Amino acid sequence: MVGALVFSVFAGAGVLFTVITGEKTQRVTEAIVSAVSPQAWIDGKILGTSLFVLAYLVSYTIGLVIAFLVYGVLDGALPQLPALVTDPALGIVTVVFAALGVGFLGLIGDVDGWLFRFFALGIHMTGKEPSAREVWRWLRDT
Amino acid sequence: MASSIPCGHFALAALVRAVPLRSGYLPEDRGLYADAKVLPMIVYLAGLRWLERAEALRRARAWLERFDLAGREDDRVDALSKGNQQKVQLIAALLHEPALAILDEPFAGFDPVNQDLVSRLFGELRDAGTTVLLSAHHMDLVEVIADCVLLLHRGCEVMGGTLDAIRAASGVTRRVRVTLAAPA
Repeated sequence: MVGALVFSVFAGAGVLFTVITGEKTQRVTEAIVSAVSPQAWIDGKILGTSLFVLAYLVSYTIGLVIAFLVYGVLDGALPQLPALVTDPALGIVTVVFAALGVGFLGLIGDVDGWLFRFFALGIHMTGKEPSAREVWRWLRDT
Repeated sequence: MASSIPCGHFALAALVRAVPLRSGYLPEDRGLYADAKVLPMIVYLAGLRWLERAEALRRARAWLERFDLAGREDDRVDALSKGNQQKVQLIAALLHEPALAILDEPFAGFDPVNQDLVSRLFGELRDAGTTVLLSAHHMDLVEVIADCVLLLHRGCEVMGGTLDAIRAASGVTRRVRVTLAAPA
């Protein structure tokens, strides 16, 4: 359970970074933030990534259950399914935690003040990688 | 109304977003998801500017037809040539009929035939009352379509104004006309 949560958070963060850097170098970000604010942009990214990871976890769980069943049929006796699958209470806890996780990620996206201004500045920059000196100057200016 | 353009490394995106429904923006190079399909990509970007889906579809089809891209609606963006991708990008920037279109190198990637197609389109937009602000290196095209030209060097104005004013200021007043006669 905890393992699944930790896995999904790290996998989600990985996906998020890959998506953002990919979109930034393709300059799609430029086209999109010409229509929506950086805040809406990052909110959408986080929400989308969270749902993607959630869907991934669900399909992974279904796959696991099927594997167990197939194994059971081949083996002649149904093995004990993990408690996560058979116990509804645990299922509910999983969903609640997942929802909290999404909410928490949303909070991260809601950072206000200098950190957000720094982020917005970065989003408005063109695709080229900034030098250390430029990053320092942005930090100072924000 | 006085306004200022943020300078330095800022992309024009920030400026355009100040009036997202009335402005369109064409980034230099690609601003499209490479793995997306052409028609959904255009409709998605139009949706960000609150264009209704049905209307966006209708307009997008008409634009694709005009740009010789009919039949390519379901192709992936990265399956298109550079020029065709540029067309899709241009359609996405203009679909919501902006009052102000900011276009970064709109002629890049086009062959002369399509450059001509696009420059005629800009003429139509201007006649319809759209303000088109574009950057380009193709001075021959700019000469034909631009009402006002601004020459920049390292972000600073070198020369600006109407073409006639620039000609007068540069001191180049002599005009040479060459006529080629058909061989006898």
